[in-house]
Amino acid sequence: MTLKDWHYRGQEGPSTLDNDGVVAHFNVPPREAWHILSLWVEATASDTVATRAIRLIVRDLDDDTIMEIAPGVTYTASQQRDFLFAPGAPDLTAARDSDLIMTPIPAGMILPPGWDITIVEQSSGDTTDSDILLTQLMYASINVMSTGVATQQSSDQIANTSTDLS
Amino acid sequence: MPTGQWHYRSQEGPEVFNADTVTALFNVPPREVWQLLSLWAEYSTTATAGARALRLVIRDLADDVVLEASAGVTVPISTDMDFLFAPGAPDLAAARDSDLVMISLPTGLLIQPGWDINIEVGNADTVDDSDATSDIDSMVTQLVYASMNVMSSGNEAAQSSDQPANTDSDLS
Repeated sequence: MTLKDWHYRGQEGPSTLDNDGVVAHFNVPPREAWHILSLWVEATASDTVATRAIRLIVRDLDDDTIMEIAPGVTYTASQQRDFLFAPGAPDLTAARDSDLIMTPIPAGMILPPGWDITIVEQSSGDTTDSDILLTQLMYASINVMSTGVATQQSSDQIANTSTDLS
Repeated sequence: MPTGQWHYRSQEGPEVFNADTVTALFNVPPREVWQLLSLWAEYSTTATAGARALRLVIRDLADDVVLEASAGVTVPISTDMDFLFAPGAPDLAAARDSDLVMISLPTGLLIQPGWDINIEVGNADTVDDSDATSDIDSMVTQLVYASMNVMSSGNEAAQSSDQPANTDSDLS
């Protein structure tokens, strides 16, 4: 496989929440970079009373947060809602047709090796009972030479060095 | 390294303010061009009075302002708030989930050698008065960008609009 070809792929995420209210944990493997094209979420809330707010989070190799994106709509007990995160999507603050929420993400959302993208149930979700989030990630993948374990650059450091082979 | 290829990178910015209440100062080094993909800022304010107003500012080699993008929400005292500046992000006038503010940027934000990107904060608390309630504001920043090597060192004089762009010495 050559280094310069983009390959278009899809992945289905795990449907259960972990103890941190995290689902859809997608990891960029070593020697790959991903361009995020869309993330689809089908959320089904249990009957536990609470307002659910989901959030897309990107973290780097050190688990530092690189970005967070929140949809403009929450949902409550026993409701089913679908969420589309995609470049160019409108930013809806009310569900369309009562169940669909679209949220824009940056067009150039490139994730280097070792970074991850997750959907987090931000507030008061039901992680002990039966909230369900089905997720589908669409992305373009390219092979790169970097393993993703290089030390992150700081802002007062010259970016180009002889060891910078990525 | 050959020119003409984009390399995807990230940098964490400094957390402390300088005398101009500037933090997150990112400098494009000589012989590189950056395309800004996103800038994430986690801002925490002290109890010192003042609504903090964040603004992304890009300056050229002569320190002239080339672009400013202002967040639609200010940060009150004693509050943690997160900001995402990115092309394609919505332009929010109220924090979402009470703590997340997104601001849209131009899509083709190409930044030349020697230019810099920073976040300036109006009404920031930058004075360390060393008591329990008023230390200094803090901001953690993460820049994601694509970098391309170029032949220009970035120290030529800027072209004016009445000057032809293509000359024998224009090798960048």
